Amino acid sequence: MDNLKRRFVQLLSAILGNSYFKGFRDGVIYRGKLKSVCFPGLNCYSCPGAYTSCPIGSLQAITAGIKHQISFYVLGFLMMIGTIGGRFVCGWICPFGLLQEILYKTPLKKIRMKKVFNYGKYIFLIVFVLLLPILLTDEFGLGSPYFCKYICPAGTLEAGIPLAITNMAIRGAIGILYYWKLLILGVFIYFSMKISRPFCRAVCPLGAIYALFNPISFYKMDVDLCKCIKCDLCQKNCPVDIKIYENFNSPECVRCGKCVSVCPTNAIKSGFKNGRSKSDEKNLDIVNYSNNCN
Amino acid sequence: MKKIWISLIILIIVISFSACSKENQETQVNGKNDAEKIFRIPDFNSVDLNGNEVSNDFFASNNLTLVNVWTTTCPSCLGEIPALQEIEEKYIDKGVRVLGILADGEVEKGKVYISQKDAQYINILPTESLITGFLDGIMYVPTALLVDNTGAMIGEIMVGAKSTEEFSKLIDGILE
Repeated sequence: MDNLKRRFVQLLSAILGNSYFKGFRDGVIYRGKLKSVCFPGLNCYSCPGAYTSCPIGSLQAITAGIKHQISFYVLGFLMMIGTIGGRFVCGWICPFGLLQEILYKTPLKKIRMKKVFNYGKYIFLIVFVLLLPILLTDEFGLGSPYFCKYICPAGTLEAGIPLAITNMAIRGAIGILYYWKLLILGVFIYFSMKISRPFCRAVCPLGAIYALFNPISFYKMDVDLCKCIKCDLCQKNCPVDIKIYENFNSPECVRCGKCVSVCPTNAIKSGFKNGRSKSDEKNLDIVNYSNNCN
Repeated sequence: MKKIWISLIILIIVISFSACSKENQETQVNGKNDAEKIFRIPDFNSVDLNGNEVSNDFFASNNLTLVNVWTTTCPSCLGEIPALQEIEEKYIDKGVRVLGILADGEVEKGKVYISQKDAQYINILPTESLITGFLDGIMYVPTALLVDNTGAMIGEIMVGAKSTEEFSKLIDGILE
């Protein structure tokens, strides 16, 4: 039932964020006032259906521009979302996360991703979104949005393909870069069927930013270590493969709540305050650290 | 629980309405709706980057004009400037010239980039008539199109930077 609620929110978010139907019909991009707002998840600015901008695309547009600045507006927005719930966007709002979850349901043999790849998303963020657009400039001093241009499969799926289908002029501009992006999309689709949320864990620069806020967000996960029997059912059902009782608010956690629903002793809770007062918190710390339950 | 569903439905309706009203009536330059009507660049009275007056009479003085919409923030547009200059030099004797429209109106920056590449072709600033009748419908830069001596479009809109060879092939095909 809880997962159904989350699925509903994910679908609603994907549809709302891409409901400019005129864009799909005429092969155009919405360019009205709403475009100055960033979508909290990864949703391409150039998707014909999108009303809002992609925060990662916006960051690159500013770092690649002639002044090579960092957009405080976008970063501030991301920090606000991150402080509220950390990576809950990944689990509840981002349409690309939804897509990976759906793809994972395909009956292919599943493999576990090695933990070292979790660091990949920070490399994509720092190198492709921040450093390269600033440092790798053309003869005019302009950079390029390197993540959008060479990597992002969300852009290919949401924008590249629909625009190529509906817009003849765009079709005329298709070259080798388009085929490269299609290849990346194909690879991503394949791996999403074998591994759970591979893009979220290993590549997504937006997930990398939100991940930094997981340990400090208002919406948090909490585990009552007294109740925990270390059966690892949480990890077995976790889309990002974490042992939550070892790290309650791991940077990987997308706050999907699956662990909460499968825990046999109801040891896991999530929420904004968990109804704990300051004195309760102190007691809980003593309990957890001294392993003294009751 | 019921409250959440009701408020979500209201949210959808509100957003749909607010987004619909913000949309401008954009001229369809390309796209499926324009199949019957041939697009024509509206009459304009503008200035080039050096302040000289340029109007749509420019089209009448050529057999063909290659109109190129660009901005100073677009790397592909800037990379295309040498190719456009080559077209201007190659076809000026045949009555074919290039007209650049600097869509973001950044005169100083535009002049820097143009002189960096020693480009001599004319670049004009947008006017009210050009914006409402042409530029509002341009989705992407660089966008190029060939127009005849009345400013009516020949062939298709071209999106994305093209090479001298690609432009030449199109122009040669029309000149025959």
